[in-house]
Amino acid sequence: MKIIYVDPQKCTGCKVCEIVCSLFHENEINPTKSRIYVTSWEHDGIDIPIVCQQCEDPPCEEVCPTHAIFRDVQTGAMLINEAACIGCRMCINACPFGAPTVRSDTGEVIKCDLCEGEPKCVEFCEPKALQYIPASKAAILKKRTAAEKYEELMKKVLAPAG
Amino acid sequence: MYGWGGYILKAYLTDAKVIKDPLSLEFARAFLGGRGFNSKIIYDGFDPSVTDPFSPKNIVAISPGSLCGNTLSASRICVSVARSPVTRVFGDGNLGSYFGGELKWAGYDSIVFYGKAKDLVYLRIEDDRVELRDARHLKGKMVSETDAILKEELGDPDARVIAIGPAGENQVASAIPLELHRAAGACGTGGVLGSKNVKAIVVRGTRGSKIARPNDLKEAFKKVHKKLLSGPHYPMFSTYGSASLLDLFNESGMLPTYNWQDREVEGVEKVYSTELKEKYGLKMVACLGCAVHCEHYYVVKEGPYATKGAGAEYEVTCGFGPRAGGVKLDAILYINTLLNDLGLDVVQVSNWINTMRHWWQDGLIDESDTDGLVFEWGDYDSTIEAIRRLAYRKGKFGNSLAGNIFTFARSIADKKKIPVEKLTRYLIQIKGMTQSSGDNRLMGIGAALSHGTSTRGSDHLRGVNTDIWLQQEKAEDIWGIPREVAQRFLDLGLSDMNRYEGKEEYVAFMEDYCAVTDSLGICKRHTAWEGMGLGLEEMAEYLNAVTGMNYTWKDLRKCGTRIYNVERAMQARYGLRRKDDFPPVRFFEEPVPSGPLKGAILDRKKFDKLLSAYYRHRGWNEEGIPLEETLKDLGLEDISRDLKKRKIIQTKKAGTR
Repeated sequence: MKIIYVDPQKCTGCKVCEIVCSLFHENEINPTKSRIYVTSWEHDGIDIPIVCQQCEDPPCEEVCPTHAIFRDVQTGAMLINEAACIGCRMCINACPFGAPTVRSDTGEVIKCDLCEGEPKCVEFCEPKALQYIPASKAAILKKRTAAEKYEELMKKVLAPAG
Repeated sequence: MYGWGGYILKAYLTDAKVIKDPLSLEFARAFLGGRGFNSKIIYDGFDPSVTDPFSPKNIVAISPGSLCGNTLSASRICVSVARSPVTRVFGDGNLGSYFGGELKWAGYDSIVFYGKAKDLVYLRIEDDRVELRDARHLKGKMVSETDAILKEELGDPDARVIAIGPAGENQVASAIPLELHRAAGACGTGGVLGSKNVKAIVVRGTRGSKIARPNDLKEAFKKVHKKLLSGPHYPMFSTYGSASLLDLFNESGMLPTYNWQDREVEGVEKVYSTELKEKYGLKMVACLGCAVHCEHYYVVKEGPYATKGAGAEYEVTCGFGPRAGGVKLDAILYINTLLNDLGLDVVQVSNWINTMRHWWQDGLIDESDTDGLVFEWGDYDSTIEAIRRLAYRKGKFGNSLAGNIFTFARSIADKKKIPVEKLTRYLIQIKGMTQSSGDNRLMGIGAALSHGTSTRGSDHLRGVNTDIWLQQEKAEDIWGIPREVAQRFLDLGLSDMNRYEGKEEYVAFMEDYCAVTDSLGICKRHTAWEGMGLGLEEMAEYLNAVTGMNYTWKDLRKCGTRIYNVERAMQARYGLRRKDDFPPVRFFEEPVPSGPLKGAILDRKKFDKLLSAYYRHRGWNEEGIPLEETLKDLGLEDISRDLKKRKIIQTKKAGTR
């Protein structure tokens, strides 16, 4: 199963993901209707995209009183059955990331559906702060990114003298 | 109405009233948005007999480009004033940021300020809710403080703030408004906002943008995005930002040093973009919807110049580096943050201070003229102190310089009983606006002409940046320009940078082109202006998908021509003429002294001839004033009538004296 892997260090804060998400889902451009959200602390140069992680054990699914949230067997995405959703927003409360969104106009809850396996936010994310990769690889990637910080240092330490 | 927000906000500050005027579709189609809107609104609304930039009768218009909030690559807002304290005529500044999209999502295409508020105010916009609010608690606050306080007050970290700093409040001529670290550089629009007691604008928009042809837009996104990323300069700008131009210019002998006296400065590698990225860069950051992310977020962790911020463009690394005869990068970054926070323009301030160093070098000024401050090449601590005194109008020196470098020059000339021209000739300026860190002797004749004819004073952003983009054998290798136009340029022999003949066509085309990008909000770094691939055809594709209209690239160009003529007519109304279209005098008299391009110089006779050819090509008279039929052809009958009434217009055919 693939997930959207987020690397905040690469995020430039451009919000291209929010723009394309709302265009491809809603046929309009409106970040308040985007399924991905970039949290920015511009004064400190910090940008962290927040998007559904399609958890193995999703609290949103568990908390939903009408069982409106279910897993798409094809992509592994947690989807919302709109007919069953009563708009109680408990899924947002239960999610540790607050990943589902409430639409600014209708009040409906919306969330990342992985664009049927071809997430548009990933496609347009040039800095590759977002990547669509198997969950198992994501863990390895995280390790590699962390290890890269030590790489330079290790090279210096291990380099032969002179 | 698709694409446009649908309303223009008119803030009548004297009456503390804000009106929402519906946007006319006809107006929108003709002037597009952004700079196009501003220029026409100001032409129509301003009485040119008002000469004081700080008069309540001055007008400030702030408009996002029409594609802001609608497409990728479009984030730019234009801030214009009827009278600029820098040039004393019409002027504007552009900033790429997030504010433009947010304003469109709230439903507005323009904000126009008239009159003067009784006390310091800010304009607060939250979708339909628009109000002027007390800003006395923000008095004296830095731009970054103002940004943080207003977001806190609105209870929304995603709100967007444009603010002036202390320099704007103190009506310093080179003051500008900023969105945090993104500056509406040039023309001193910040002091005019300060004179109106407008501290800031804060906006939050949740209505979003309705798209006329969403499927077309999706296709255009895929296509144009790909083209942008495959552009020849994409890797350089996205990795090292515009600061990389310093490295490039130094290695090709084009870097101005010591106020354009020389090409070299010792230790120049210390201010290279590679050094910036490695030592101080945390990451690259971007404006809304932009994949180029050309700004560094930088941190200087310790020492006397400890600071943090974003940007660090070529203009600051060169302006306070080689042009100032210095190479201390941490101090330059400190200055960058300081200028942004005080709300001062990097280009104007660096030029003013470097010209003073030049005067100092030649013994024209000393400590008795500067309240004891020293202006040696490569000195940073005096520079930082001078910037503070300028922003706060501190002392006789600070107050005089805050008026403008020309005001300061005049006071020195009077004191020393020398002609003022002896001082002002040192300034690399056109129409009063000092130049960015290019060199009119080296960047191609098109660029030289374009700097000269620019409607807001010396400017690389108003047309041709450098002729280098035409140095190709095949038309398809010239990026961002329609194939047939590129072919024509090659047929005319314009791939020769130093050729004069025929350059008028290239310049007129690029001036119109830039008027379009400034009106659509497209970043020039994505376009032919920077040798990149987002051209007029792609812009038309975006605009048509968004608005449901059917612009061709030729239609767009005509909008650009229209906007340029409005501005040209406006400047003619203020009294600007042919003599004001010449590059700085030093570039005609001082050959480049060293480096691989040693000896390069502009030829006044040839330039004068080129200027005539340019006016003819434009349909203007020999003084550079649009002819009646030119204006009529562009649907500007109202302007033609106005110029006639003022006895400025000529009805004779182009090319006649």
